[in-house]
Amino acid sequence: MIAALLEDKHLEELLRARVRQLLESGQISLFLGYERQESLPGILPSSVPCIIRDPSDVARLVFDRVCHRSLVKYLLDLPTGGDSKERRAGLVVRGCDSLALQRLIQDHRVSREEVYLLGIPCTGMVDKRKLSKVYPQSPSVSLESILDDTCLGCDTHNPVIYDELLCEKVSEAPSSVVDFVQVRRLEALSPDERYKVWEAEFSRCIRCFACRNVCPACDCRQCTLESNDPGWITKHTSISEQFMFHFIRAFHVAGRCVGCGECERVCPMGINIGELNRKFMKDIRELFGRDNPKMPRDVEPLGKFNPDDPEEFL
Amino acid sequence: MSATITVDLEELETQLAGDVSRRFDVYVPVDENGAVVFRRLTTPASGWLKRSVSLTRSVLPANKLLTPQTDPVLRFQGGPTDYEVSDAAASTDLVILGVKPCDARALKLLDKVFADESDIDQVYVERRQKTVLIGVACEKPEPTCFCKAMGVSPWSSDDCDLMIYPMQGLEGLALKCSSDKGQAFLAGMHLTIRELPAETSEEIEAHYRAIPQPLSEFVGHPEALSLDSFELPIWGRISERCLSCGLCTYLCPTCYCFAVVDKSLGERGLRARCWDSCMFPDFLKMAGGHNPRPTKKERVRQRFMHKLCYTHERYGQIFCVGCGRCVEKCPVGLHFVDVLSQLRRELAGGGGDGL
Repeated sequence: MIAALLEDKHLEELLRARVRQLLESGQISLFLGYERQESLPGILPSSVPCIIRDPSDVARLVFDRVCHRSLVKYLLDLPTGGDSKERRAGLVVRGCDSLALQRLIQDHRVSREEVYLLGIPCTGMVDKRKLSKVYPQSPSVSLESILDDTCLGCDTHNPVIYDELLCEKVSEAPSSVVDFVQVRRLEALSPDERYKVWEAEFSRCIRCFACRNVCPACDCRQCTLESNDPGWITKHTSISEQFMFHFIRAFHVAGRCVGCGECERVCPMGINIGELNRKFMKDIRELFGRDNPKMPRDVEPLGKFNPDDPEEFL
Repeated sequence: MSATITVDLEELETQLAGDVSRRFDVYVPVDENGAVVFRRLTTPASGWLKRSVSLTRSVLPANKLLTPQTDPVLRFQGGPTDYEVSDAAASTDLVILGVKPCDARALKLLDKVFADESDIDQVYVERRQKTVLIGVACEKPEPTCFCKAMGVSPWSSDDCDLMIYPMQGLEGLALKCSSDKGQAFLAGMHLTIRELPAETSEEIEAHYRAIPQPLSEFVGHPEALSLDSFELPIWGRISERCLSCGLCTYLCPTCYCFAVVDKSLGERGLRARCWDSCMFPDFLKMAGGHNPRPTKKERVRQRFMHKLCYTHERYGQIFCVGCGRCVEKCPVGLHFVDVLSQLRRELAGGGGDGL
């Protein structure tokens, strides 16, 4: 049964009970979690973000393998200041979510004291496209065969920050992303060939900004893409503007991308955005000797000049 | 309108890639890394026609070819005070092959916006007149399709000029002409045409009628929302998980909003109509900084009130053709069917009617 692969009823019960306590005790004023979307005939099961404010609503909460979207960006929608208590939020964090949250904390967009974190060691989410090929017909499917590629290459299964864990930690498997197979393949191309690859990719872009809006490293109060003066880019979609948009995006998350893979997952046009992020990760790893370039630190390699930094191009 | 005919697939392919491509810009759906997109037919590999008509719905609706994302209006050139301005709006003779009935219906709806007698958009109308729509009946709908619920028939030729029925087991490719323009276009290709007996024509229709579309049954036939729905308390909750990206509007065949944007390159520049989205926070932001839709609540409400209420008030139609693109692609599942369900529950609970 595929449904059984997707769910963990025991974990869900723990989660609901804990959230109820936290809300009832007033420790948090709302909880960011997931709920199962209404079941539609012939359509894959899906869990979507939800906000729980009333303890009697905790039964809506689920945590399963189709809870894809990172919740941390929703914290930025919550009102701050004054007597607002909305920011005293609880949320579930997997490994990637905790890296994403650290990113927001480090960028002073969220303070650690505002959030209460229920950590969930995670062994991967399911890829909708892979699942759609087997759902609901196939009686037996291996979990590995339907896991998201990003999750298959994950090296941060356990949350790196949390207030409590809802279940036992899992062992960290060595990442396959760090092999950067596809990045090496692109690097081996000539500049002209590489240009052609990206020209084809970017020419499909419709600038819906789903990649930016879902990205935890894209947390600026005012995005440069929405600036009219100076207008770095306009709404024109000539190929030069497409390159400009993707360069701005990639450079702004360089050294700050936590590798959650959401940008690639949400892109309606199937653009290979993550490869740009991984190229930067690989460079940072090689130039600055960072073992895990995804891990947010106090001092980011591109955030501070160090006299020992490599600068062969100067 | 007219009888169903068959033509030879290879003969049609040769004509379209040859003579027709010299007279028209021919656009066909192609599979690019798993994304179906419309591309200009330039140097097609043999067998392209069969591949094109067997593809699933495109990521971007076919009808967006008539309202491109960046649509030049005028060019300007010169110094700071003395500008020369020239017209940049253009329309070409266009053939779009592989239009799904949902996207074809969307054009009928956009006609109400851009080609209404009292409110004519010259460029749009010209393009519409110069475009031949060759539809393709839906052989294998996506699980997210619900066009039947929105009053679109996945095999009807009504909204196209010609319709292709790519079903197996027929000798040749079944076609139906549904407009004078289609008739003239077909005649111009000088194909060998074989008329099908009425029974075969009925068999074809029966074949397409029998293809199930489970989501349509679930959706039923939505009624329009009343203007009072603006005040429903549920909008705040519905909008909470919105990411404020423009994916749903850019993929929607009935969304048409644009902004007029100048791009200046030193002493010359281009003014264009560019797609814009009511889901973007700055969509309605005014000079001076006031924003009438400051939060997601107002913006998400606008999207669904526009589709389910305002267009109905103004044009007598709900602006959704059930193509299912938002259902498939919204990163947070905040799509037409989901919102419809939430509104129905809310209205049923509140004793209100509608939907």
